[in-house]
Amino acid sequence: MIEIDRLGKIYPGNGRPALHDISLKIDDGAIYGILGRSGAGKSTLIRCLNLLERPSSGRVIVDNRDITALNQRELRRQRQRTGMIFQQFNLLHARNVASNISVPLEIAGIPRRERAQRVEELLQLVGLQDKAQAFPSQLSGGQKQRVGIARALAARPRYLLCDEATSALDPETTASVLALLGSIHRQLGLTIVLITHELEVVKAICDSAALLEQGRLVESGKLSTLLRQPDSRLRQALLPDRQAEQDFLRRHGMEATPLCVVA
Amino acid sequence: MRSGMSWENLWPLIFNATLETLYMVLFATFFTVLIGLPLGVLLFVSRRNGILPMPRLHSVLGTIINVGRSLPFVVLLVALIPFTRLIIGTTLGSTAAIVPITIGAFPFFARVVETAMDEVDYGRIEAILSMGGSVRHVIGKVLLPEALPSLLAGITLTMVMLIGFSSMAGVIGGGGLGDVAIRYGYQRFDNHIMVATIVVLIVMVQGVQSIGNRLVSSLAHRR
Repeated sequence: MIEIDRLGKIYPGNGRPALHDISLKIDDGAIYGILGRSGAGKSTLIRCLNLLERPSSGRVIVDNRDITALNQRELRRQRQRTGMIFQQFNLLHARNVASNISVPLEIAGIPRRERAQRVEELLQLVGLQDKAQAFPSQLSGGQKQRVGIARALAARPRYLLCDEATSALDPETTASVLALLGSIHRQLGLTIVLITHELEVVKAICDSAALLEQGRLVESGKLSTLLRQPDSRLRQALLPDRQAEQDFLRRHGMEATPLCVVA
Repeated sequence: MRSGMSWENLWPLIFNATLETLYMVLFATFFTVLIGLPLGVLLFVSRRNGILPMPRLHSVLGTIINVGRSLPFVVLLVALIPFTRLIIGTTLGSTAAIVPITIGAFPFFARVVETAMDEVDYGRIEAILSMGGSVRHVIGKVLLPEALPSLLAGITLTMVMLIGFSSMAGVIGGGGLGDVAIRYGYQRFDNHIMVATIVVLIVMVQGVQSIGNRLVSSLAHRR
């Protein structure tokens, strides 16, 4: 479980804090979506979960340990148990696909033969067996993100952090990458935390969500709970606006009932 | 002006001088990279917002490098004579010339390395850190391999500069093509030799540059 406790982040020379007094609980096995516009502090928040960014105040407690209190060595250990994927993929261009996936295993000090075996499994998991020898510059965006996912999972992490993982992809590729994340979640039972500005991502795979606005947490919780609260901002954002939909149809000469109802 | 030496005498002279120049350039490049590469990496990682922030050390190194780079090479060449004698035991000949050439070039190369590291997308560094990578991992798995094309281009640039430096070393008796050009071309007005040294130098620079270009483009998939 990840507990974010009164987290704050102030960048030096910047008046408004990037994050202000954020408290959040992320249960084991959740797919937790943190939704917000650009500049809301999402990237800072997710980077505080593996301390790529140091919070100015507050604690991040992962599996009952305050990771802000760990020394360098312990922190590196902790990071090995937390995979991360990125909007810009961040693959190493000097290495081919198989070699990219093996990087976390090299860092963890796993012997060569075991690495090769694990890489093979991961290529299969993300459906890129035929691309093992390809270089990142020869792949499409969706393929690059699949490599990113395989790499993030290589060291068998308990948590997967997704930093706008589908924002650089077109809608179809986004759907297939989300489907992959969903199936990995079912197979491996890990906890996924993702940040996004796309409602569709939250709709597609999340079971819990939080809304971030100007560095402050507006609301958070299980979607099954939030959707039952009529005044929930997330509920309003996620569900289609019936009135606007009917106005739109009427403007184009069609009467009241929509042709298909979005569930 | 008159033309002096006959062709039979000219070629061995030019040939030996060319070998001396190559000897100086190759060894000086080796030592320049040996000193400049780690220094450039240190300069990059020690930045205030770097992966191993040591702002004090960074500014000390930066100052030393700037001092080294602000001295014209001819001045450095003369100023370093006592130092060269201390290390090599003599100040004459090509081996002795390698010392001032290296010292003149490594600050430049360190800056080249720093710039090449700076071009590596920070996201790739962040990715390695997110896996639990140490500073050593970041340097070995990201900075050096990802910057390799830029580093090779930088080494090529440095080598061409070193060909120029090695010629100037002729002023203090360093041997090589510069030495020949000064003794025969300048002091004896021998046009044949002057032209021959120029031709060899041009060929050398072209050769280094095109080998460098070829190496860089063979790594094109890394972009």
